[in-house]
Amino acid sequence: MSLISVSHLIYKYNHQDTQNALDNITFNVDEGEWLSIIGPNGSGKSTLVKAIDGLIHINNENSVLINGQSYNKNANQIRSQIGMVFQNPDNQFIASTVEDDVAFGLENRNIDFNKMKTIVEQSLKLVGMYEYRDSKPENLSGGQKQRVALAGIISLKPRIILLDEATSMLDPNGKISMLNLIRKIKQKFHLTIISVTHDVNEVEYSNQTLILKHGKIINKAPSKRILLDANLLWKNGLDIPFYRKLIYQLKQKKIHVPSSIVSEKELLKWVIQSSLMT
Amino acid sequence: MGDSIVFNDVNFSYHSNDLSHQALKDINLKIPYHSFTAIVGKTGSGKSTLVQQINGLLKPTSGTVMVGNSIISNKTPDKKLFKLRKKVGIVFQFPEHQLFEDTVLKDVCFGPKNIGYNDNDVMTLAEKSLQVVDFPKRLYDQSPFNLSGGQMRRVAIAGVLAMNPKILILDEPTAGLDQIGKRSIMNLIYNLYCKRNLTIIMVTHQMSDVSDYADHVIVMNNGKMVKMTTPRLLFENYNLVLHNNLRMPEVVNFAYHLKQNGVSFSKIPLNIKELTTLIVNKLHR
Ligand SMILES: Nc1ncnc2c1ncn2[C@@H]1O[C@H](COP(=O)(O)OP(=O)(O)OP(=O)(O)O)[C@@H](O)[C@H]1O
Ligand SMILES: Nc1ncnc2c1ncn2[C@@H]1O[C@H](COP(=O)(O)OP(=O)(O)OP(=O)(O)O)[C@@H](O)[C@H]1O
Ligand SMILES: [Mg+2]
Ligand SMILES: [Mg+2]
Repeated sequence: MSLISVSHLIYKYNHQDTQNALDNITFNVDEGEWLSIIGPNGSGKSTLVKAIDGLIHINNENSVLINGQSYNKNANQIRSQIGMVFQNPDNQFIASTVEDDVAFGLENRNIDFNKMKTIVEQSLKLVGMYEYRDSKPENLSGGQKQRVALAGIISLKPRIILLDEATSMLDPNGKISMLNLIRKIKQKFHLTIISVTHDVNEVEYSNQTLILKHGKIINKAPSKRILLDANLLWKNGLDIPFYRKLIYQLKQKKIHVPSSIVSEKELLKWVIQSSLMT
Repeated sequence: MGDSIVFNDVNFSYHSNDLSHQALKDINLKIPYHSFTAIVGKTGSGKSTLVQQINGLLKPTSGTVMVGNSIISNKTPDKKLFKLRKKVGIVFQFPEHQLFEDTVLKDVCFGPKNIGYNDNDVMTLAEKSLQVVDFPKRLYDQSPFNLSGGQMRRVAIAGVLAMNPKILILDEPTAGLDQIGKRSIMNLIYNLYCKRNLTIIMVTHQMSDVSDYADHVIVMNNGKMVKMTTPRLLFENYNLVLHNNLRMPEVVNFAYHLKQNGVSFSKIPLNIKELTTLIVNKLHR
C-alpha cells in the first residue's frame, strides 16, 4: 500500500465555477519518496497539497488516503504525521515570537518542557534562525519567515512533509542549504516529501515529478526523465535546466552536442575537451 | 540634483530607540533616473527595508533620502509624501500586503483612482495593466485573496503599473511566477525601462536577472551597502560575490569553469548568447 494515495480527486472552490481546480487526479506516493509538483500558475498545485494536508473539504472521502486512512474518519491520526510549509509563510504563524511559534505545534504533544525547549532550539539552529528566537514572526524578512516556517515543521518530525514553494524567497545559497537540510533529515528519518516548485534546481532533489496543468495531471515520471525532456518542459511553459538551454543555443549555431550528455558537468567537460582539441 | 535618488547617511532601525539592531547602517548612494538598478544580498540584509525608504513608507531614523526634489527625513509628515507616492510605485515582496479590495478589478482600479484619474481612464488603465500581466479575464470579479500565489502576484504588479509610476520599485517581482510569467514580466519591466524611460529598482535573488537586465547593482550585507557597481564588475569579482553570500549566474559560473580548465577568454560572458558565441568561436577555430 502506498503511503499517500490520491484517486479520482475532483475539487471546485465554488459550486458555480465552470472549471475544476482539481480534475480527476490519481497518483500514489510511496514512503521515502520525494515528489515534485510543477505546473503553471493557477494549475492547482497548492490546492492539491492542501487536499493532501486535509485543509479542504473533499466530497469523496476515499479520494485522499494517507496510509490507508481518510480524513473523515482519522483526521487527528493523519494530522500528527503530516506537516506543511505554506506558500505564504504569514498564513502559518500563530504565536507572537519565533520561539513560541515553533513550540506551538509541540505543545499539543505531551512533551515535557525541557525536551520541548531543546527541540525548538535545535530546529531553529538547523535553519539558522536561533538568534531571532525573540522576534515577532511578522517582523522578519521574507527569507527569514520561510526558514522559521520550515523549523516549525521540522520540529514536529512528521512522517510526511509538504512544501509549497517553501524556498521561493531564499537567497541562492540559502536555498541550497535549506534543500540540503531537507534531504538530510529526509534520509535520516526516512521521510516522504512532496514539494511544489517553479525551480528546476529544486526538482533535481526529487525522485518523482508530477506535472499539473488546468487541474489535470499531464505527466508523472522519474524526475531525471522529466528534466531530460526539454520539449515536454518547454511545451508546458516550465523551466528547463541551464545546460539544456545551452545545448539548444549551440544547436542553433550548428554545434551538435552528443546526446549522451545529460548533465552540466558532462557538457562542461565536452566543451573543454573539444575546444582544447581544435 | 533633480534627476536622481540620493541617500545621505541613512540609518534605519525598526525599533527607533534601539540602535544595536539597525536594519540600515550609514547608507550613502545615488541612483540616477532612467537607470535599471538591481539590489542583491542575503536574506535579512536589508533590501526590502532599503527600497521602502524611497517612497517614504519607512522614513530614515537619521539621514535623508532625496527623490528628485522631494526630501524624506524622519520629520517629513505623511501628507507631504502624497505627490511622491504618485511618482514612485512599489510592488511588495508579499503581494498579499498590498491587496485589499473585494474584487481583483477594484483592487487594480484603486491606485489610479486615488491619484486622481477620471473614471474612464481608471478602467482603461486597470484593464490594460491586467492584460499586460496575463491575468485571466474570468477572474476579474474574484476576490484577490481567493487566487493562486502567482495570480496574486500578477494583480499586485498590475495595480502598481496602472498608476503609471515614473519610478518603479519591485521587490522580488518574479518569486512564485511560472516560467512564462517570469519571462514575460521581466520583458515587460525591461521594456518600461528601455522604451518608456522609467527608473527601475529591483530587489532580486535571481543572479541571471541581474546580469541580463540591470545596468547597476547594489550589494547589501548586514544592513550596509557593500558596493554599488555594474553587473559585469560584480561578476568579474569572485571574492565580492563569495563574501556577500551571492552566487554567480549560471552562465558566468559555466564560463569560470571553462577558464579554470584552460579555455581562455578576455571578457566574461554575461548572458547565454554571449556564452554561446564564446563557445562557438572556441570550437570553430
Ligand atoms: N480560495 C480560493 N477560492 C477560489 N478559487 C481559488 C482559491 N484558491 C485558488 N483558487 C483558484 O483555483 C485554481 C488553482 O489554484 P492553486 O492555488 O491551486 O494554483 P497553483 O498551481 O498553486 O498556482 P501558483 O503557482 O500561482 O501558486 C486557480 O485558478 C485559482 O484562481
Ligand atoms: N517590521 C519589522 N520589524 C522589525 N524588524 C524587521 C522588520 N522587517 C524586517 N526586520 C528586520 O530587518 C532586517 C532586514 O530585513 P529586510 O526585510 O530588509 O531584509 P531583506 O534583505 O529584504 O531579506 P529577504 O531577502 O529575506 O527578503 C532583518 O534582520 C529583519 O529581521
Ligand atoms: Mg500555489
Ligand atoms: Mg525582502
